[in-house]
Parts: sequence; structure tokens; C-alpha cells
Amino acid sequence: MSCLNTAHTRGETLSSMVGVGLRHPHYKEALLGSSSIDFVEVHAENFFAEGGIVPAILDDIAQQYPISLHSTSMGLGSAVGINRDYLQRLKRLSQKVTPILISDHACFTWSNLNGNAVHAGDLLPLEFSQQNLQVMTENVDKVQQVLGRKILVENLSSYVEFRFSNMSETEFLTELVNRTGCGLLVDLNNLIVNAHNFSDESSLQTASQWLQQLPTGAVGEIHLAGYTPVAENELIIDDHSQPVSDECWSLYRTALKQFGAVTTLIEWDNNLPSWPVLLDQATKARSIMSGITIMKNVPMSEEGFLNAI
Amino acid sequence: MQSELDILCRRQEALIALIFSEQSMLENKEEDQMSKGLKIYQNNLLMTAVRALSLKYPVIDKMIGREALSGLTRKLLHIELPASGDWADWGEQLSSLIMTTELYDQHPYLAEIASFEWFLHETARGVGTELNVNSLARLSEQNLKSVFIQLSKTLKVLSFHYPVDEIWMLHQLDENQIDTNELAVLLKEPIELHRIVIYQREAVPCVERLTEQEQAWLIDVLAGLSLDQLLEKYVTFDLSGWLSVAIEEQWLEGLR
Repeated sequence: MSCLNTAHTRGETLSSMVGVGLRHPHYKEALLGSSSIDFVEVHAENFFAEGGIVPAILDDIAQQYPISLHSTSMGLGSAVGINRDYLQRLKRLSQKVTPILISDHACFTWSNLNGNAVHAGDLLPLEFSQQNLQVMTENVDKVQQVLGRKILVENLSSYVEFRFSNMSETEFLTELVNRTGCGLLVDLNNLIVNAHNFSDESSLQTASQWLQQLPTGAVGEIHLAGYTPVAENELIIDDHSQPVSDECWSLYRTALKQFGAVTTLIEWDNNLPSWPVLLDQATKARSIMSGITIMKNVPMSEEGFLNAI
Repeated sequence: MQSELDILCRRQEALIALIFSEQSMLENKEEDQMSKGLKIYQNNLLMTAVRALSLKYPVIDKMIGREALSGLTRKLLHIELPASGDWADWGEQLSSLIMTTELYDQHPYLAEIASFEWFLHETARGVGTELNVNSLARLSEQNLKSVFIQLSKTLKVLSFHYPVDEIWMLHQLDENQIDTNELAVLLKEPIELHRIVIYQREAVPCVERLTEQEQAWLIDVLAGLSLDQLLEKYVTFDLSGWLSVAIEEQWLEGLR
């Protein structure tokens, strides 16, 4: 079952929708007035409570916006597998809100510590190896069977690299798509953060090359975000605390030229702006996406004007 | 011989162990890329865990401050591992942790306040009750030995040495509005038990004080005494009055 490029909401094809991450301080404003966004993304775990006011809030949100469920704890690359209770909670939530998209990350979270089961509480990086690919394949297969639908898997920003990796991240993700039929959520900010932290070349160039290695039809969503600048030689932390960076906007244009219109989300989790500022970011993304779509019908020499958007 | 899957499991465990390690990377001055990366994961873990606790324990956070809460969080991460994938499920053992610290010697009320806040948190997320009105017809049955009162699963009957509900309410005010004299009175050496019931009403947690008899009644109801046994034990108890409160406050699921 495909959830990509087929659903129609408010007259929009899913592939050209633009949304924002909806976080608690914005609930009231998001629910009060009409806004220009096509969908909101919520973190699945924030709505796991089956009682209290949380389910009612989610109902209200779902009445006003199509919802994308973005989970942060599934740990699709966990060698010990995915916790069964967690998966059942996600399934119940998914059945309740029938989200337009469900996504999580190419990371691991479940493991053991001193003989006890543990959840890392963070998105921990994978080694890109055949063995981890096999683990990831089995886990994604299982999740898609339990949820009864396709999921999107997001590339990670990571702060350590493993010497055990023997394939590239794009080879790993491409093969995962081939084996499971899952889609990809490409987080452009994560690409930039990784390039800054681990590449000697220009981050934009490194990230663009990364994009070129992906199978075009597999990309079901793009995340845009910003990060707090750091001093030279320090690692950038993917804190989602700033407006979408200029680099990220630039990479977004590159991605749209390569993939065509793709569902796009502004991800801003910390140091939250006002609701109108967040919506402005979404408006900018929509303008760029429209421009790129138009560009397909104009000579290449006129491309320059699009970069000014 | 270990399978490749086992080896991968061990390597993932090793990274988790490094991140959860009590030995802080912060002391390592000559940092390589790996140390810098691990430090970020360690900081992320601590910050996320502190935030998770501060949301569940807002009054504890206010009373002891963020630095002390961070210290408790570090310890709690080793006593109670996060294991469900939802930070909202983590942190139940804060109260018992506090009892093992120096903080408890100086501020013994903190453990009870933490316990109270955890119950509030649990009640806020619990599934509330819908009264089975038809079941109330069982009150007219001749034989009450087989009639039992069914209470909401969110309802908890508790006793505290300190007036934790009043202390909690006082801390809903801005810091500069808190009457320190009033707080000092509430925090002084306890002389009597404070009996309360925590429950969910209209999807939000509520707290009520109980008399000794009301508390004993509720404890016996929860213990599964039949209506016949209850009425025999509590001869003067105003059942109809209690029932109307129990229905109004959404304590009652029905009679079975």
C-alpha cells in the first residue's frame, strides 16, 4: 500500500504539500485560526497517553489539519528488535488519526545495559554494514506489516562515525528502499550538519552529492531546519532551534530540481518562534517549490530568478 | 562463536554503555572527534531526561532548582533505565531516590511531594470513567452480598505526612507571590496524616481531602468488600450521600 503521491487533501496532491512541526506552545494558535499550511507533523510519543486531555487535543488537531506522525523512538536499526508494546501504542495512535505519513529515523534506540532492557532516549547512529542493513530491513518490514502501511525512513545527523561501516549511507538507504518498499524522508539540515561535522569539502557540495546518489522516486518527504552556529572545530548540534539556514534553503532548491515537488516540512523544535514566523517559513518553502515546478517549463537560462526567491 | 547479529548487538550495547556512563567526558581535555561526539550524546541524554522530569515534577523543580534536579536526574538514569520509548513513562522512582540523598535529611517533605506529583502525572494520562448508569439498579437487590462497587481505575487513595496538596497548590503561584510564612507552616514537622484521593474528572486530575472514615471506606471498596460487608462494617456511613458525590466526581464506574 502506498501513501506517497496518491493521497489528495484539500485539493493538493500529497507531493506538493507544505507543513510545519506542531509543538505544544503553538497548539492554541494553530487551532484558533485558519492557516496557510497543508498539514502538521506531530511527534507520535507526545500522544501515546490514552486518557486525559491529550487524546482530545489530538482530535481537535486532526479535525483542522491532516497529520503526519513522526516518531522519534522506534529505533528501526536496533539489533535487539523493536519493543512490541511501543509498536502497539504506535499502531493504536495510527489507527486513531489515520496520518497522511508515518516516519522515523535510520537509527537505533533499543538495546541492553548491564543486562537490562534500555531505550537510549536519543537517535543513535548506525554502522552502515550488511548486518545492520539486514536488521533494519527486518525491522522496517515488521513495522510496515504491523501498521499496515508504508513508512518513511529519515537520514540521521550523527556525532560519531563507525569504523565498522563498509558501505555509504546512501547505498544503505537505497538498498533498504529496494528491500522493503519503504520511502525516504530526506532531512536536508541533517545532511548539512553531517557535512559540516565530518567532511573537509564544502557542506553544500557534500550534501548535494549525497542527494544525487538517492533513487528519485523513493523520496516522500523533505525536512527543513536550522541549527545554532558553533565555533570553528566544534561539532554542530542538530538542535532545530533556528530558522531554516540559507544553506538549507539552497540545498532545498537543489533537491526539488532533482526530485520534483516533494512534501515539505519546517522542523523547529527548540527556541520556538511565534506561530506566524513559523508559518512564514512554510510560505517560503511553498514559494520555492512553486518556482521549481514552474522552472520545469522554462529555459534553463531563466533559472537564476528562482534562486532569488 | 558469536553470530554477526550478536556482534552488532554488543557494539550497540557498548555505545549505549558509554553514553550512560557516569564518568563524564567533560573532564577529558584533549578531545578527539569520538569524545566530542559522545559528549554531545551524553549531554542530549541528560538534557532530555531533566526536561522529562521537570514536566512531571514541576513543584520539585521549583523547590530545589534546575541544578539539583540535574544531579538527581543523573542518579535516576542509573536506578531507573528509560525502557518504553516514551519519556512520560520514566521517573517514577524519583521519590524513593530523594529518600536516599542528603536533600532528604534537610527537606524530608520533598519525597512526599515527588510521590504526589507522580500520582498526578499518572492520573492525568489515565483513561477516565464512564458511569454505567444501568448498573445502579443493583442497589435495589435483596442480597447485597454479591453487589460490589466498581471505582474508576484512575482513583488512588493516599496518605501523606505533609499537606502535599496545599504545598503543591501554593507553588502554582509565581515565585514572588508565594507567601513564605504560609509555606513554612506547611513544611513544619508533621503531626497528623493528610488523607487524599486523586482521580480524573472531565479528563483532568483532581484532588480531594478525605476524612479518616471516608478513606477507610474507599480502601475497603478497592479491596473488594461487597456492599453488604461494607454496610455492616460502616453502620453509620451515609451511602446515598457518598454515592451522589462519587457519581458527581466521576469516582464511580458502576456496580457489579
